[in-house]
Amino acid sequence: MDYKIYKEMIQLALLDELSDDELKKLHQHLIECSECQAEYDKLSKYHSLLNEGKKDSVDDNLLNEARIQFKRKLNYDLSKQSVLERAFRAVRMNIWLYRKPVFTGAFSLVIGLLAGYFIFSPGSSKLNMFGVGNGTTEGAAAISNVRFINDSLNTDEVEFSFDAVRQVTMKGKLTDPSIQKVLAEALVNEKNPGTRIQTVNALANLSDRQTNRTLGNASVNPKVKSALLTALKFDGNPAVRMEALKALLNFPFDNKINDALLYVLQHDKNSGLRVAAINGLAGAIQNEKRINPETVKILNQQIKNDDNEYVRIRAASLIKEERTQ
Amino acid sequence: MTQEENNLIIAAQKGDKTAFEELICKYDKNVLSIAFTYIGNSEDAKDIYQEVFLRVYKGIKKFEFRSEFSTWLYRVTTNVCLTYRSQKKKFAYTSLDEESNDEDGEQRSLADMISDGGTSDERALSTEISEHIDNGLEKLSPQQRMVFTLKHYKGYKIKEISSIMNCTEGTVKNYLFFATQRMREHLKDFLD
Repeated sequence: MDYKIYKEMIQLALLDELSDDELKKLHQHLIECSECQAEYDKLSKYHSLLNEGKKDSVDDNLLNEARIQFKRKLNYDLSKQSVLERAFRAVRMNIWLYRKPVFTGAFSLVIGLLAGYFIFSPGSSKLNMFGVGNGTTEGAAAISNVRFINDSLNTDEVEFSFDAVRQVTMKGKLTDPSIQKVLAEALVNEKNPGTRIQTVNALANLSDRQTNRTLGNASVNPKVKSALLTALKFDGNPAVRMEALKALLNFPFDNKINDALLYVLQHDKNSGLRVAAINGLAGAIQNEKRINPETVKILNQQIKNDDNEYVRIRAASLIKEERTQ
Repeated sequence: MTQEENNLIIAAQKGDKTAFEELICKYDKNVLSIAFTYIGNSEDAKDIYQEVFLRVYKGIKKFEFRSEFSTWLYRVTTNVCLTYRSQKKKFAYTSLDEESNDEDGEQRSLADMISDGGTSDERALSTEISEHIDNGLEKLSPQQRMVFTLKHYKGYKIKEISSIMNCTEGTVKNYLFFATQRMREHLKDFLD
C-alpha cells in the first residue's frame, strides 16, 4: 500500500470507519512509518479541536416552539387547501349543471331549502351559515384573531368574534359543542397570549362547572381536554399553562393528565408550575392510594435535581408515603 | 422499522393526524438538531423543521417502505437544508461572530453571550474555535458542509450518510476528505 492509501486510512480510522483488521494493519504501519505517525497525530489534534468547538444541541424549549409553529402552519395550510377545494368543487359542479340545465333548477331549489333551514331553524348557530361549524375539524377553515365580547363568569354564556373565511360572531352557552370546539382551537392556535388566557379561563369555567354538575348532563368536547393538555405542556405563556393546569385538575384524573403533570414537573422552568403540578399529582395519589412506577421514577429524579426546595420535599414525602402503604 | 412504526405510517398515509404527530415525535428532535447544527441559528432551524414536516405530511402517501422511514425523513431534511441555504444567501447570515452591543454598550459577539457553564477563559477559547469552525464551514459547498455536519456533529456512519444524501459512499468520502483538507488549512493557527 502506498502513502496515499494510508493517509486515507488514517482519516477513516479517526472517523471510526475502519474494521478491526484494517485498524490493526494501520497501527502496524504507524509503528514502522514516522511520516504517517506524524500525520495521524496532526489529524487527531484536528479532531480534538472540532470536538471543542461543537455546538450545543437543541433544548426542549426550542423543540416545543418548533412543534407549535409547525402545527399552526399545518392547520393554516389545511384550512387554505380546504377552502380552495370547496371552491374548485363548486366550479366543477357549476360547469356540470351548466351542461345539464334540467338539473339547475333542482340544484337551486335544494340550495335554497338548505339555506332556509340553516338560517331560520331555531337551534342553528350563526356559525353554520359560513360553513365554519366544523371549524375545528380536520380540513376546515382555521380560525384566528379571536376577540371576547362578553365572557362573564357569572353566566353560562360567552360571546366572542373571530376571523375564519370572514369575521364571525358567536354567542351561546359554554355547553354548546360548537362553542367548545372554537375555544379549544383558539387555545392552541391563537397568537395573542391575552386571548389565550381569556380562552383558558372560559374553558376552566366549563370544567369547573362540569365538576359541580351545574350544567346538568352536558358533556365536554374531548377537544377541550386535548387543547388544555397541549396548552399545559407547550404554551409559551406561564399564566396560560397555570390556568390550563387548574382546569385539567377539575377533570376526572386519568393517565393523560398524569403524564402532562409529570411533563411539567420535569420540563417546566417555572417553579410555580412545578409546585402546582406536584400538588396536583399528590391529590390524585391520595385519592387513588397508589403511584405508578413512572411517577415514582420521575419523583426520585426531582428529589435530586429540582432547584425548588418545596418540590424536592413534596416529592420525597410522596415517595415516603408510597413506601409506608 | 418496527411493526408499531409501520402501523403509524400506514395510519398517517390514510390521513390520521394523530398517528402522524406520534410518528414525527420520534424523530423531530434529531431533525431540528441537524437543521440547527447545519444552519447555525434557532430561527432558521425552526423554519427548516416546519418545511421538512410540511413536505413529509404532503409526501407520506408516496412513501413506499423501500427504505427506513428515518432515512427518508433525514433525506428530506438534508434537501431542505441545502435548498434553504441557497435561498437565504441573499440575506445576511447571523453567525456566532456577529457583534452586538450589550447592556453596558460594550461590543460582544453573539457567541460570547451563549453560556456553556465553563470558565470565562475556557468559554472564550471555545468561542474562538467555534467562530473559526463556522467561518471555515461557510467556505465549503452546501453538500460538503452537510456531510461534515452529519459526520462530525451527528455521528452518522458514511454508509448512512450515503443513504440519506442519496449518493455513493465514495462521494461522501470525497466530500469529507475535501472538507477535512479545507478545515485543517483554515484552523492551522490552532493546530500548529
